[in-house]
Amino acid sequence: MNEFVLVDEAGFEPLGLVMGSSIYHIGYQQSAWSKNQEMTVLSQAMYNARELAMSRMEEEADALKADGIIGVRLEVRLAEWGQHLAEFIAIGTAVRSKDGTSHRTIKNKPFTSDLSGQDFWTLMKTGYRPVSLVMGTCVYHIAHQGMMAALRQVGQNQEMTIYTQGLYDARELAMERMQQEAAELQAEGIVGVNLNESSHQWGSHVIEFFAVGTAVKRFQESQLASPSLVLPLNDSGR
Amino acid sequence: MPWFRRQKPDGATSEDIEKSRALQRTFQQYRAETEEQMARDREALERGGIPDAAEQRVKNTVSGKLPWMSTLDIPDLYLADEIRMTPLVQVTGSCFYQSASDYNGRIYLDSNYDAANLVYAYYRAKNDAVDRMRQEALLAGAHAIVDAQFKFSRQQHLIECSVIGTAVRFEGVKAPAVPLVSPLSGEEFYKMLQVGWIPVSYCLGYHWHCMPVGFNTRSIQSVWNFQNQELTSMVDRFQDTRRHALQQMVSDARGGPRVDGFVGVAIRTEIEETEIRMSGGYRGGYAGFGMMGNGVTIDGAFYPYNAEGVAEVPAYNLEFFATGAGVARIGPGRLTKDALSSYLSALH
Repeated sequence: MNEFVLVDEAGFEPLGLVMGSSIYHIGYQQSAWSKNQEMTVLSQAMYNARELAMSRMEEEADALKADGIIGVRLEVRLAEWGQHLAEFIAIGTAVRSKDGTSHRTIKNKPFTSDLSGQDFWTLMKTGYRPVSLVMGTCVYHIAHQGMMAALRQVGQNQEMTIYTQGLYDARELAMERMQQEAAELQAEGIVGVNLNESSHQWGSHVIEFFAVGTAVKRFQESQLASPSLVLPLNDSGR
Repeated sequence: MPWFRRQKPDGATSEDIEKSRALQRTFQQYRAETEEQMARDREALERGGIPDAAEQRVKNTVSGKLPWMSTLDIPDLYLADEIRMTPLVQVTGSCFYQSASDYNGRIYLDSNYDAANLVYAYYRAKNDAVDRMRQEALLAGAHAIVDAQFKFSRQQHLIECSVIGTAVRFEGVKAPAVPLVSPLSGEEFYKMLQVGWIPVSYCLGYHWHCMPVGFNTRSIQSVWNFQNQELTSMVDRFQDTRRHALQQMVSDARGGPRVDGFVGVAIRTEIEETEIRMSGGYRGGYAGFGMMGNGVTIDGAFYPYNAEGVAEVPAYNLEFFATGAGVARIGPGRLTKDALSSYLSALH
């Protein structure tokens, strides 16, 4: 209810729930036991399937003549009924500007954003508008430690740089890819970035870094009044 | 009806499949890092630096070649704007640190049954991760890192600490030599500034103690004990563990800029059953029956040495883990630009 009112206040009207999905077979790639390496086949699969779901959701929004989609939720479910199959779903609310101003991307697609109605209203009032939900993913195999290496480390405190480097590379690749997407859409920044680390069903040495956020662009000066500090006396859990 | 006469169900046509493939060709095509690059990154980490990709990302973002990014949510960004605090770039740090262990992966205890190596590993993992994140923030010319979200994990004796936050700059204020680190969210950071305080560091209080037990403690837990009774020896050890951890937290705070107190302290405690292997020369108990090497008597129970000269003693791991934001008081009311500027200058 609050979200609906604030979206209206921000100058948009909701048109309908839009959704896209993709059921994708994730290919196979052999990893080297004792080496760090990106599993590019898996990275590309995770990215392509999410993009396919997003594209289909955007097509539905196009059919509604929407300017954008807010409150996008992007979910991945690994199917129990088929090996290496995963279901990717994108759900959001298609909205249209009430004054007829176009907010579509430079690729003439509806803007997408994972912001709630409240956040969307606040963002618009601060003079920024959402451009697109941008993402980057990287599936990475972290090396196993060989027997000799393990024996050499007995009795010593030491950093495992091979693990640190693997984690850094995976995270950097995911973030860089997300930034690249935003740069292609001529966004100025990305807000609310979430970096999720998951192993899905690939075992503890294969991790997926998934970076997702809303790319934004300034379109007007901030219209928000200065806040006053109000501290609630009830404990709402920080 | 035989299968070959059945009608083909409505499914994906070859055109649909080709359309899906064509669409996928328009998406970003990912390229992995080369092995040479990975080797260079490892060398950089061993030298105490950060990988090339992290350095390039920070430089390209700050120079405007790539869009800025931030972990801050929308209300946080609005408040940041209100106090003239500009988010520059997302900064990260990680470290996997392994504490010393024996051939079977068991950790060593000192004469007080404290896992000193493990405690050291926690601090090294945290300090190295923070140091790497600070290096990224320094490259960006940041004053502080806000919304620093820490993640710790332990697999046997391998500790991981990873942190991700947003490097920020205050308009018109000279950057300090070392950026401040705040695990508080943008909104909490704003509130602290409104009342004259500033978050300056992330502090860790960690201690791990192993408490060997014998008859005296275990008899209390016996099914034949029908009395209400406190496990006082365990409570004492746990209090000691807590005291050590909190002392460590205070020491950790003293290693950086002045800290007047802690806010947002989160505490996690854990007690788990384990077993200590005490070898013949171990100083953990005293020899039984007056003969060196027969065994050890602990907590009212005698544990004999086996053929390898090792006594296996039941024990409890007592773990205390506290984290919080170290904060410093700078002024009596809402923080002014001058007060902030002079505080940051004093950190040089």
